[in-house]
Amino acid sequence: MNQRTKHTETSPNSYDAAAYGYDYRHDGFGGSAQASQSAAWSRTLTEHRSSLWITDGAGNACTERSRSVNQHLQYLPFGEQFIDQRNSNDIRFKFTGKERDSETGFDYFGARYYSSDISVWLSVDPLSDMYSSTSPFMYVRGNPIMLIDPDGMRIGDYYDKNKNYIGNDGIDDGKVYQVKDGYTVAYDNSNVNYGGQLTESETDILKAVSDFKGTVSETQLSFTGSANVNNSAQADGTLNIIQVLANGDEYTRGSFDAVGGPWGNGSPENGEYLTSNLADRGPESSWSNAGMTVNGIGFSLNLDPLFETNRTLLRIHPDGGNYYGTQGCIGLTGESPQLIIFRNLIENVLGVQTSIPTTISIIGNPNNNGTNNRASNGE
Amino acid sequence: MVLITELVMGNRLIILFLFFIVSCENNSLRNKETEDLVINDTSIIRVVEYIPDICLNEFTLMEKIESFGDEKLINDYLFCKSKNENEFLAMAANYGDIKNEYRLFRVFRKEQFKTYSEFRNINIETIYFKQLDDKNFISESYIKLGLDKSDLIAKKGSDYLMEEIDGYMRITYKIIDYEKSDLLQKYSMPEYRSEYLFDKNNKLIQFNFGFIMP
Repeated sequence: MNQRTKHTETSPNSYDAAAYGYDYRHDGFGGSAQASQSAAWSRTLTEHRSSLWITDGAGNACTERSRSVNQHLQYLPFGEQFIDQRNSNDIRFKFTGKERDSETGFDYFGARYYSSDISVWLSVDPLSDMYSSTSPFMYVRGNPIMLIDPDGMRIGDYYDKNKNYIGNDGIDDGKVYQVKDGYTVAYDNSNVNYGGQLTESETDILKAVSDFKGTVSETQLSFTGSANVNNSAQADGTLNIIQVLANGDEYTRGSFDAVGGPWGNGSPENGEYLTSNLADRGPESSWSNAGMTVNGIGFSLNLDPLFETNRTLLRIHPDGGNYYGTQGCIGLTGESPQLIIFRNLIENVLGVQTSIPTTISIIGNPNNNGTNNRASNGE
Repeated sequence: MVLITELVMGNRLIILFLFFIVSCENNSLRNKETEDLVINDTSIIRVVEYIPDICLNEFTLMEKIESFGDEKLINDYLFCKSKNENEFLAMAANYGDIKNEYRLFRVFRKEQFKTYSEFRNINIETIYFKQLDDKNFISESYIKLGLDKSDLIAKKGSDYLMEEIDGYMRITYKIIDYEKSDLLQKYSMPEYRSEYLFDKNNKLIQFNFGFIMP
């Protein structure tokens, strides 16, 4: 088997239909490329080395064209070879455009290998616990007519044309999609601010009207809020998870209600921080901490200032305990579902980043730096 | 004069009831260190206001310990040993405060610390301890390991909660009224608590006092 250097951190499975925005449907045989709208497949020329590949909407390598047609391929829905006509050497990029190992005949999707002969993945979906109703070996939910899987991973997050978060299909894999101009998403997702998960049918609909905008190059955190009018030591605001693409575009992945202060030295100072070290603080943890636990969901993140200050041991955690607010940490005030989503998102991010650049911006912040300046609680 | 030094559940309610009556009649009693009252012809109760400790040896809660340097915290705790290593001290670092300030002190007998270390899943043999020169850990009101339960109550008063935990008796005092507490207001914290764990012989085997993380 060929040696591969490419692999993914989270190596998730992904079900994808027209993930790259092709207005296209299969003909049911996986390759003969009968475009439903315009001659889409003829426009999807992909250059590989000195040759041009003509792929269909699912990314199947159908035809290799240099100066003349060298090879013509068609596939059955799950990738079995249906037609293979060629004038020269066999091409390596086949079903859905993935490279086929010449020794084993398995297709490499980036996260795992696929056997088109027996129509199964050769390893378990690493995210199978999130999709218990689907076999972890099944290819594209058993629906290869509508769906393809570009890299063996689930696709990512959807935003509307105004960059409002719509939802995700189950996992942060760094891919961002945005609904094209001309489409309005009338989508009632009550969890939208917390990163609600789309159903399969919702995902399928969005796929058809979205553009792939890029892959997240960095995730950042931003706490924005205002000093409480009755007690400036308390900051009320939101903690936002921001996805920054390679081109600098920013998408707010989730916004979580949060508080800083008023206890102790009060809300944290405005400035730049680094967030890291997700730790379990729940009741089952050896280092459980009631002040960091809400309804059994407990965790903490270190929040380290990148500027000179006397304040130490700042954290981000659920605002647990018997009292509203924190001693300067960012306390998440949402309920369990939001806390779980936040924790899982951050856990994913810290799987690919050692730390998360974090900005704190509080209007009217007393900016208490801890020097003999203990905050008044205003009571 | 009979000094009631130990409360058991049966007579505790009576005493609390009497204490309530006395309090209504003379509210100023709650703010006095000691007051002898004739409850009836045969018993006298000593009413003691709960005065919280904030110092342990030379350390003071919420004040920077100047003699400390770059101390190695383990999950936001600094673990210390007494000079002869028969008493252990866990100091809970204070979130959002300056370096080497601690919000809570917890003192253990060695045997109790072993239990605590199992709960925390830390290896007592390999964990970092700061070695202190102090032979014992003693609070400003002279609370120390080995103290009798009756002596504790005599010092700290009867306004406590007593529970049985794993065969041990635990006595807890709390201060939670922010508006009436100079202590809470001084440090801008919502709750102060002290807890005392006694063995079957009513000897103090573990105690802690300090501010509760909000």
